[in-house]
Amino acid sequence: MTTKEEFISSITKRIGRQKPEKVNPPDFSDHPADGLYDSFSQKDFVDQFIRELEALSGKVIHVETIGKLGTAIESFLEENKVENVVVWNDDTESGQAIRTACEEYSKINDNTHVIAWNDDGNREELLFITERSDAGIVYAEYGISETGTVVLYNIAGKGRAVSLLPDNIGIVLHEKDVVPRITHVLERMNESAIDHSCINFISGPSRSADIEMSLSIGVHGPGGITVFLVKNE
Amino acid sequence: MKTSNLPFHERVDVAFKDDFLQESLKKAQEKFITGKANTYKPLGDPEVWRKRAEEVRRHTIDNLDYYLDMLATNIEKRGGKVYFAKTADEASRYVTDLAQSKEVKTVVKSKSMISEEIHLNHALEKLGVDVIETDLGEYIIQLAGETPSHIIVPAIHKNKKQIAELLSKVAGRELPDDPPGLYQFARKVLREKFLQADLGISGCNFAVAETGSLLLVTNEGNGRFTTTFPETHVVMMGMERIVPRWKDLDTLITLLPRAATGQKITTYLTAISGPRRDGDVDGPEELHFVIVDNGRLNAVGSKFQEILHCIRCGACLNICPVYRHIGGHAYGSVYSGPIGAVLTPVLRGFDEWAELPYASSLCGACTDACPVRIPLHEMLVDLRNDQILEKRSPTTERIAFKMFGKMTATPRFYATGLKAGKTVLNLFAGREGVESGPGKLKNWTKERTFPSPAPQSFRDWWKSGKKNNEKK
Repeated sequence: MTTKEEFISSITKRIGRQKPEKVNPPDFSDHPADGLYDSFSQKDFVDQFIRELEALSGKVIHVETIGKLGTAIESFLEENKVENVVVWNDDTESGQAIRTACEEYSKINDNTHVIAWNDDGNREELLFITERSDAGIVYAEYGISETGTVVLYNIAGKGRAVSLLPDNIGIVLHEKDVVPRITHVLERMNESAIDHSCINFISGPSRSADIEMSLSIGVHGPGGITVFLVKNE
Repeated sequence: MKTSNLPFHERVDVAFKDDFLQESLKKAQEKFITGKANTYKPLGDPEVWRKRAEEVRRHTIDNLDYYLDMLATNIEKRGGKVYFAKTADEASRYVTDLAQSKEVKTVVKSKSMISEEIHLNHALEKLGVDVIETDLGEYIIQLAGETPSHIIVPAIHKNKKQIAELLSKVAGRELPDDPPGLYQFARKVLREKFLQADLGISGCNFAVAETGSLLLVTNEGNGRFTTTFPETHVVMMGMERIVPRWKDLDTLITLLPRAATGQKITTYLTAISGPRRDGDVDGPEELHFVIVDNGRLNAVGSKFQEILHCIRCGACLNICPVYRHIGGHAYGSVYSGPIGAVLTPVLRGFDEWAELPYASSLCGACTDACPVRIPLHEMLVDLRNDQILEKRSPTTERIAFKMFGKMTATPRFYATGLKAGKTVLNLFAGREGVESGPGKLKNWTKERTFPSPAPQSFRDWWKSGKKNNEKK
């Protein structure tokens, strides 16, 4: 068995110097992306986000205000003929809005059931139900314009499986949270990684091209991604 | 590391005779090269990005001891466990011991080149554990009992008919060879395994030292499944797969998918920091990092250190004219293409890998394609040079080159040599050229005709021109 000390000191020896007490990673005054988006307004970034996401076969539903999310979710649930929908159990404004909208819908549609990811629930049971659900609805912390990406922070009531197991995923994103590129999310990752055991960057539906390079959507994960894009209030 | 017992030239012959392989390599290279160009374009000057990415990798590997220490400390701070393994045996023993102590029955694996390298599946299967590769390409070659022939598209050498046959065996009934149906079937089978598995094993695209985190880069989502449902998650990590901070990932993660498959980003980037926390329902209860050397130390502090800068995108395979003709299996190593031709002998020595540095035309396309600017073709020359210095080349070759050296150093000998060569070649030349050459030339003429010597040599032409000019 090799200990950590032996392992690391063998590297130090090969490098041929003493292991430093402190190393400062290089900080550059410029960024290779400098100038790429100088002429972009926030609207341009949002438009680019939509273009990129649609190119990956993701869908966008525009929502005027978070208060009007219900109508958007209703059409999403109807279009996908959803019977079981899983939502995050979360008391932020977006989390509450999602849950309320789904519950309102299920009140008038007997066939639709809402399951809230429960932070003190039975793991096996929750996974079983989620696997059998047709849709999962969550919200994103950020949207990344350059790549049509949404960033989900997972913790407690905001389970990872909700955006993974169901066939169709709905994601609420506020236009004000669309950032130009991944740079802006990575800059905050030091803190967010400490606070969350899992953070997912999702760009369109799950895909594979492993059989004769023919593209297939929804191979392990969801086959449909819909972003509810909420206008600035 | 080794994937075949056939000698190099026989492996190459197998590839030459495989029409489907030839066709699909061509198709894949064209697709990836175009995709790469299209996704690099909006970034502006690619050189600026490549240089920055190179700087980040260089700084990290120059201080690998420091950052590994930091990484290990922070993994533990997040509640994970760290195990350092010097050898392949140590690494796989740690995993098999863990599997035994937890009475593991089913393992799901997302893609990990290092576990290919150390033959981890065999070790686990010996214990009677059911090991399932969940990257679809990896799953296909696992069913076929083969190894990856491309670092990004492991089953590129298999056609849909072969894949349908493999999956039919799993299904216990005949499946038609249409890709959408095959994808659906694989999804169903693998999903069951994901939910059953008690151990998940993933690779590691990047480990982030400042927070002790793992970043997985996947398209199918199997990386997410592997790290969400089993109660134990083991990360298999080559010791160089590390970045200091999240922000240092910026250029690397911008270039990696573009250079690999021509995507601006993969469907999923999954950042994992420790096992599940209080209140988390999914995610593993235990998280183990196995940090593996397995020969990488040979490169540290050597002229080959930059090979550790590699971010495993496969861009060098996608551009390589030799890879296009011989495919991945001909290299005989789990790492193929230019990166494999350098990395394999650096990790394992020349004894079994002497041919690999010669599996290149030295055109340098790999060096130009590399997103972190590893001078791959220069390393291939260095490796050839090292073999000569170690006197590993055949005696006949060494004598031949000595004679060639003497000959070319003296104009008179050179002229005589050329004339002699021409006379001999003409003996074998037909109307189209030399179709079946003598001795070593046979290796050439086996594949293509060698041109006949010109009726008038350059030297004779030069002389006659001079004479004519003087006459004028």
